[in-house]
Amino acid sequence: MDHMMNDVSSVSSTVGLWPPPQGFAPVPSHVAGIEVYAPAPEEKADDKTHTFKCRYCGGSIVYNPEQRRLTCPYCGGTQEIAAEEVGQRAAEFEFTLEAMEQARYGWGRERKELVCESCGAAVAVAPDVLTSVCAFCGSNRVHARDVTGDMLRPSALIPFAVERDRLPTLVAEWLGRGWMHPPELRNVRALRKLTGVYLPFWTFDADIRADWKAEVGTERVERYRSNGELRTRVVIDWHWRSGRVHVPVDDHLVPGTIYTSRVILEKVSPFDLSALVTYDPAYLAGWQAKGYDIPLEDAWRQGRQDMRALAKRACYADTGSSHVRNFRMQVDFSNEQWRYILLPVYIAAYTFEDRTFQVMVNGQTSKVAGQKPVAWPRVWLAILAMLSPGACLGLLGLLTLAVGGIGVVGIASGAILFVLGLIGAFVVLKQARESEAV
Amino acid sequence: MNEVAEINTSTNEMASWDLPTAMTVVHCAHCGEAHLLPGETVPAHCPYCLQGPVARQPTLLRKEPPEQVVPFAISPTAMAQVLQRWSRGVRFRPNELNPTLLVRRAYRYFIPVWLVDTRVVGVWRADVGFDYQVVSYQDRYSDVGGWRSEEVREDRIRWEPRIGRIERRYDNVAAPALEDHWKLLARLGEYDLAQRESYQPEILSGGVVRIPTLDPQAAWPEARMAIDRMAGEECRQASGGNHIRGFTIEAEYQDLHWTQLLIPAYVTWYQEEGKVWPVLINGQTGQVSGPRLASSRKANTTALVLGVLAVFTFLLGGILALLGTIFSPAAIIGGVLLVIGVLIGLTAPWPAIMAWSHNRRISLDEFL
Repeated sequence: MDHMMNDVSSVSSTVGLWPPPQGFAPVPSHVAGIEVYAPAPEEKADDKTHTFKCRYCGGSIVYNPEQRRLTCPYCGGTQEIAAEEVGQRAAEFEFTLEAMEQARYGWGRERKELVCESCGAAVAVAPDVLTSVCAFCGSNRVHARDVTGDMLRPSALIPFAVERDRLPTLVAEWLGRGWMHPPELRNVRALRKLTGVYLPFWTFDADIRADWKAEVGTERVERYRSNGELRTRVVIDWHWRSGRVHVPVDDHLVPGTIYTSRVILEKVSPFDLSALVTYDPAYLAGWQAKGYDIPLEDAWRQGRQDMRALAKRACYADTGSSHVRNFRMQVDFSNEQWRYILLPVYIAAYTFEDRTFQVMVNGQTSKVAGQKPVAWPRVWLAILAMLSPGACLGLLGLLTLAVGGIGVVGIASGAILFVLGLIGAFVVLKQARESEAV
Repeated sequence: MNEVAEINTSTNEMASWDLPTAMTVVHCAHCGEAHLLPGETVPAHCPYCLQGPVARQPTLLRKEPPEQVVPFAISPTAMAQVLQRWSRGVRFRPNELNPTLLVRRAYRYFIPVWLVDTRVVGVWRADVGFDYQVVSYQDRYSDVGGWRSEEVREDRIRWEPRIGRIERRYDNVAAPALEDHWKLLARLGEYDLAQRESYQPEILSGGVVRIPTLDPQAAWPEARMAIDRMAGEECRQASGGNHIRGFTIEAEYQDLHWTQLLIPAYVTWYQEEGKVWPVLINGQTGQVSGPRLASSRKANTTALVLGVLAVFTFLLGGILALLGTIFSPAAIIGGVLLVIGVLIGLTAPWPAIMAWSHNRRISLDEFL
């Protein structure tokens, strides 16, 4: 077959299919004589460093949570951000081999040298830092790396909605809450290292189908005769049962960084993902943002562990009994998808009696959580107060045992109260320990 | 379009075919097909349907010879074997339905197919599919062993739109030249057209060639579909995809050139019930298509023999039963024979009925 390799540009310019729709660009063809046009990839606007400057006065502009736009702190000028609120429709990706491979290398190892567009100064930044302020001219810049490809840029984020000025009040209010903390906490006003930072998160979707098989017990009351007396007892009949449950999981969140406390992060959750907007570097102007350091594969391992625990609970619930033994199950994941997003959090610290405590504020919902010192004498006193009624009543019962029946009643009610007191004490102790934990 | 000439009953105008022997064009009054036959004499019956009388008749035929031929791959020995397998299992098989006789009667039969050369110049659009794999998991839990996780890889296709221009030349794209092309192929099975060779006049020696009933104009829609399919496949390759769907092309088909390809078959026949039944064999794969009749004569004879046997047994039984009045054990044998006679009598018509019901399902029209 001999091919005619003429210039095809003069051909068929009048037919309906031509020219290609907007957004199509030529791509390499593997057959001579055939031209191929494909939808052009979106311009990688994020490859370069964005510097945000006021178009009126040239000062550094920042994203303002109150006005939801870029504002200039010097002249008050504002600029709209053209991002779309997409909520949970924000782009998601499949677990392709390619994505897993790319995500394994994260943001690369090397530090990147950036040249400030405003003053020309070269500044080195760590690879997982997405924003920086030029140390020389103070301009706000946002940069995302090219090393990891399109998918591994944040695809969406929730913009800060809580203003920085509200933080001292919010934190003070939170510090003043609860009886087990020193009353002087109310007076702590100074917050140190107060930073508004967009933290990396992975979200995971999956359809889980779990098949379970187990011996399930049903209780039965049995009558029997003992020493000529008719008595009853509860026996359990075991039967093999099986079932299938479907657990759809939508947007399960797993933190993408090890540098913040997971315990505190969970306490400031949840985030309302319906407020997700498509990623736009403008939201990061003047704020700190961090790239992920937990790769997709590791985060997904964690996500899967959470999901299968969920499936296991669903299977146990499906058995319809509290007596289950020889339980086994198989979990099939399907339609798995992931996305990489940034969520707004304020991180701060405060000092109390020469110790530093961490505190975190949800930048979207203003929920506060963190470490709080515990006034241990108060806690021990409370525990004592919980245990003493039972102990006293029991002791009283012992003393009055000589009188007869009344003493037995005292001992029994004392024992019950003591057990209840123990449970209460355990809860209080747990709360107190968690309150100081990181 | 290539030159078309009215070919008279003799083949003098077909000099370029370089025929090994003189050939005659005949037309069948029964099936309506025209054929090119070896020799100068007109046979009694159509070489294809074997039913109608044929007459010399001028026909429109291209002057240039066929360009390519798919060679015969089935030898007479191989044909005997496939016919043996094909005729096996027919009850009351007619004497003539016999592989040796069928092979002896078989002659080569060429089915024409158009070969189109063209240059396609235009634009195209399609969805191109790219294969990729995703990683999924299957986890198992048991109270004893805890969790075990297994990675599963799933194949998926990502569809993306592509559009482009094309300027490609396609040579020898096959397209039907007969109205009953697909019906014939349904009977004979697919041919591997990649096996074709250049036309050599000797191949026609002693063979019959069917004359096209679709001229290039009538054959064009199917030819164009075949060309578009090839273009679609090349556009898929050009895009680097693994699949293509929704292929649309708007093009000019320039420099159209039509020639013929001949594909091989054998025609043979047998006679039964006073009719001639044609049998067609794919010359490349050996697939056989034809009616497999049961011999009514054989079936009727069997039925008659059984009937006579029944009557004889019945009569013998009757006589023995009568004798039973004198010699009682004879009555028992007589009774048994009477019953056997009746049973044989009841089954006697069965072979005739079976053959009749088998044959009535077979119609000659179905094979023409």
